[in-house]
Amino acid sequence: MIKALDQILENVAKVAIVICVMLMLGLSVLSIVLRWFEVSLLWIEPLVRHLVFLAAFIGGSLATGANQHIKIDLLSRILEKVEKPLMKKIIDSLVLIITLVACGILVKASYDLALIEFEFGKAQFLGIHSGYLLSIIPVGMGFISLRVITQLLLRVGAK
Amino acid sequence: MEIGLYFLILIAALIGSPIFVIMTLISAVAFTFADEQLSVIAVEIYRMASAPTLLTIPLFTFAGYLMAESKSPERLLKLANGALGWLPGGVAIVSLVICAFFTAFTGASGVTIIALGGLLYPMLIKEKYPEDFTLGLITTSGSLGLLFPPSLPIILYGIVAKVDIDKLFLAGLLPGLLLIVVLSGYSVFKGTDIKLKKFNPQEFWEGIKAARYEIPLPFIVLGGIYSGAITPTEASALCAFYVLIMECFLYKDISLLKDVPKITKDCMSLVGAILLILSCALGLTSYLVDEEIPLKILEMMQSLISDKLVFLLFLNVFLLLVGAMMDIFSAIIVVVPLILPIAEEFGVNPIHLAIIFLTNLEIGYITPPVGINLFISSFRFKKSVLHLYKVAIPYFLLMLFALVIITYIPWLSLLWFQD
Repeated sequence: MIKALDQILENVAKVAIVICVMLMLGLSVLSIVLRWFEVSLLWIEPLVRHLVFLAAFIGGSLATGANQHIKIDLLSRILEKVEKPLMKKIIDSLVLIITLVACGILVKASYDLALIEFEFGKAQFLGIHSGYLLSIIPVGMGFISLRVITQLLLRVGAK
Repeated sequence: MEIGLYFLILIAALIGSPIFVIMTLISAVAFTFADEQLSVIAVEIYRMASAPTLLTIPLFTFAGYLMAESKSPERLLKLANGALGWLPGGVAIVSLVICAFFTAFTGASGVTIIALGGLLYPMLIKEKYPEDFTLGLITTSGSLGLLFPPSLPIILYGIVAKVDIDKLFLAGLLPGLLLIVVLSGYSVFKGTDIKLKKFNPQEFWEGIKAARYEIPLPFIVLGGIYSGAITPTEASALCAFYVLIMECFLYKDISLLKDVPKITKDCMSLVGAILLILSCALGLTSYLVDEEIPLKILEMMQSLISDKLVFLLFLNVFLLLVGAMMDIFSAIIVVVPLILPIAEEFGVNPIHLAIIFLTNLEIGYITPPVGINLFISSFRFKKSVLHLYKVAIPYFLLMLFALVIITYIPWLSLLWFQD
């Protein structure tokens, strides 16, 4: 059940990241080509920047699933070498709990900010309200948090 | 209480919590005790979305990953072999050049050793280069092209330090070349008893024919940027687009539907990890600047060091330690904002500082105990890490020699900006 949920999160992230990258690429090339014809669409540049911003969180969730976050991994290498699997499992789980705490802080902090932005912000490119743009952070961090939870449950449940 | 929390965060870092988590926790503690709202962290994270050159990070990396997964390494090897294989130390020099090219495009993320190691290792052994020399060469080459455009660390440095990326691209050329020349010199010395080959025009032509679509790539990227026709951001888009068309439709090495999604996922999981650190570090950096931490360090240092040359020496030792303990991406994001104002005060040009910084961290890749290339090679070639520590020593010393030249002869980096 948890495994299936984890797989669903992985697949959603995979599809989303491919769409994101292809959009970034397609729109950027389109903007260069249009410039040759002296046409410029002003919304492309900010939209692409926000796609990269969104991709950071989706990529972050993929890195969580693949245990590929950049970290100081001296201890886990040592534990692997001296073959202490139980110790490694405990530490890995602890790291995931700490990660979840940090993600929680970020979701709360950015959710508060998004609420303020919805009240006082204004429409940006393509008429998108700045509140929605800022919501990329709580939604993205929430998505990463879900992946941390499934990974944690998988690790705790593993024999 | 505050100190206690920082201590716990330190332990969290040492047991292997992701760096972005550590950054977030430190900022949360710092802002809480400074009576600031935590939403300040979110404001800082959102600042990343306004960095104009941000797009270069995913797109250049995407292009690099596509090439690494295709048969480009084989084709470029064939070309380099035809062009340079006849030189003394030829095959070793070919390896250095190819690795530098690949690292520049894949951002020194370990992809070079994985993608090229399996090709270069048997080739060098067949040419009767000693095994330890070969292992050391490939391990070192895994980060060799880091100073060449469009390498990811240069772009990241430009974004963090707010220095023009196109200027950094130019500044890295000669120092990058110097590193290759120094290591090539060592290869010639080690390969003296190896029989020389004759230059074979037919082989060279075959190489050009095989790599006909890859050859224009550096010209599109570098020529475009340096001529001012396109910005680095546009160059990244054109480069990724060109490589995608080249690998999927011209060479047909990669299937657009089957392989591209997997490659995209692999590359973006690295890019996502880096961007998360970058965004979470922005909060911490703004706190450090608000609290005038760099200024305090500067005052402390000025009482100990008064001379620019001594400062540069101190900087090198400090950065080597950083490079040996931290990965290059976190190091750029965390350390650059701290040393930038200090170096400026000592009269170090920010572009020269960038090159010194990146060269130091390049050496960090092969510095024990945690230089990442040592572990990647250990994994790739199934040798003990201790053995790799040993074979990397001569290369480490050679790179240090080059570092001294790069540090104390600023002209190498600043030649292009004399006026």
